Amino acid sequence: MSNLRLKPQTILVVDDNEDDNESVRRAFTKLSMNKLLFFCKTGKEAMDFLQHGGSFTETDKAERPALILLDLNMPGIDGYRVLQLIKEDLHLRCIPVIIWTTSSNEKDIDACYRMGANAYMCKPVTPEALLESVKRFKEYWLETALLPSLF
Amino acid sequence: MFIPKHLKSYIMLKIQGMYGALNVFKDWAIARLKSEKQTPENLERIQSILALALDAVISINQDGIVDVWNEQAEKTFGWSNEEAIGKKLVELIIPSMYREAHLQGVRKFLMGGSSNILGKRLELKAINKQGQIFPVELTVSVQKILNRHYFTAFIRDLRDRKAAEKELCLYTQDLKRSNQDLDDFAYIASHDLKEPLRGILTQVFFLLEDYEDKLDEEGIRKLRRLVYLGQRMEKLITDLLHFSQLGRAGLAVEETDINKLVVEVLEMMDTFLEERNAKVTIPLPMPRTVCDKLRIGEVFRNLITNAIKYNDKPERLVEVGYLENIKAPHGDERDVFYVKDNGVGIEPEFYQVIFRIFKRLQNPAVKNEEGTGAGLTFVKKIVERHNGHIWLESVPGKGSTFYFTMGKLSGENV
Repeated sequence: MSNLRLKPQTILVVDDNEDDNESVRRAFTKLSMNKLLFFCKTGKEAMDFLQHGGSFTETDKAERPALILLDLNMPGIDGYRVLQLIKEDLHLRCIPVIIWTTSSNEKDIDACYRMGANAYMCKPVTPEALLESVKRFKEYWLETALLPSLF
Repeated sequence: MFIPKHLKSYIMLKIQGMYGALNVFKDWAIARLKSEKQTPENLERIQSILALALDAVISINQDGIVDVWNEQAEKTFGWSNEEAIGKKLVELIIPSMYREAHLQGVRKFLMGGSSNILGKRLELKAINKQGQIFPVELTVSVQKILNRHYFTAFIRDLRDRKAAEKELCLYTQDLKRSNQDLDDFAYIASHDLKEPLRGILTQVFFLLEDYEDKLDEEGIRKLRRLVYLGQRMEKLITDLLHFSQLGRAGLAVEETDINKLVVEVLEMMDTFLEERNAKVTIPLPMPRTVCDKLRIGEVFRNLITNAIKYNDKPERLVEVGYLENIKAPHGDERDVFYVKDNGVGIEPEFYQVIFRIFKRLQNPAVKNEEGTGAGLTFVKKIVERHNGHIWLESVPGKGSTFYFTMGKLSGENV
């Protein structure tokens, strides 16, 4: 009865790097998926978006995302903290969090999985490699995996 | 024979006295016999030995009165021979807080107790005439002559040595800190340099994507060159980052089967080996060794890669092996691993230079080989982290052999 499941609405991208966000937008556009993306440029903004705080108190402006792409190195509330806050929140913890970072450091990878990250991906540099990565992301997270219901 | 009682006790007393006197005479005679060879020349020699000694030599009797005080004792403690002889030692060189302990120790020994000072090299505090308290090294021996004890001390002023030790310790700390700073610097610099560089590359990709139809061939060629240079710079920074991490991260040391390790390394390289018609052999089994498996795997991978890359022979041959003993340029070495090739070889003048980071040698026989020139720097760093040595032998045109050892790994390295 999978048709009862809602189609994924939003993919939240939490990243302070404008160039990387632009690259992601371009790759998703090539796959006609750019409408799904919502960008937050700080950890604080992301938590407000998810918990309906700050400028997101009106819930219709902040639809709950189906997936979260999370960068690690951000000023202020960084990716680790955002990950921790999401996984501590009973209402948010079921949303898959995919770490999206330049670091391939083993320590970062292990730490993120320990904290409950659902996947860990390295940002590719070239547009070709990025497009390939986003294709696989789409194939797995949106077409293969079954995601929790959205409410 | 009748002897009146009072006379009898008188005689007994006399005899006892004579026995006492005899005993004294006996001790004296033994001492005299022992010192039979004590000619005036010998005495003078002993005096001069005392005078020239660089240690303070001080002797006291069992009442603690000084009767030997050599020249160095005068220098060390500031009291002249005339001032010291006949004085109580405690008042001359023992700081007040240790005086009671010293006197108790002597009393205990004289009553037949044991001593925890005699015959050992000790480090204690002493005081000089000016009242300065300073560290000394001291040995005390005891002599028994004519039923009386004499204690002789050899004392060395440790102030200079302590100062030198402290300086060395500070120097070592400084060196450790500056090495740490350097590693941290390399890490932070390479980590933070990467981000803007990625930004530059990304912008070039956007330019190529958005302005492809507006740019002419030359413009696109220049942008592609920019991408190439940017990516090359990124590789260099990545290598710098890796190098700094080799110096920072602890080693994961475990007993390792080197044969298995090298076979695993070769399996990962199989396309590379095939493409270049290369053959790697391990003529004899190598021993198990305690090391960081991942890092030593990296050493073999780098050495084997170089052996094949810098090789102009139609069949590129590499031999990986182990030697129990070998004469190295810097001395004999044991437990040596080696990687030997039939490649282009290296001129002796480059034996050191090749280990420098990003240093690559030009050889017309070897073209189209990509690389940053960091491989041997990683290898050297890893070998040194394993307390080992690395060196090479080479005949230009014939081939090179790289040798390395791994030393004992203490807790500090782990």
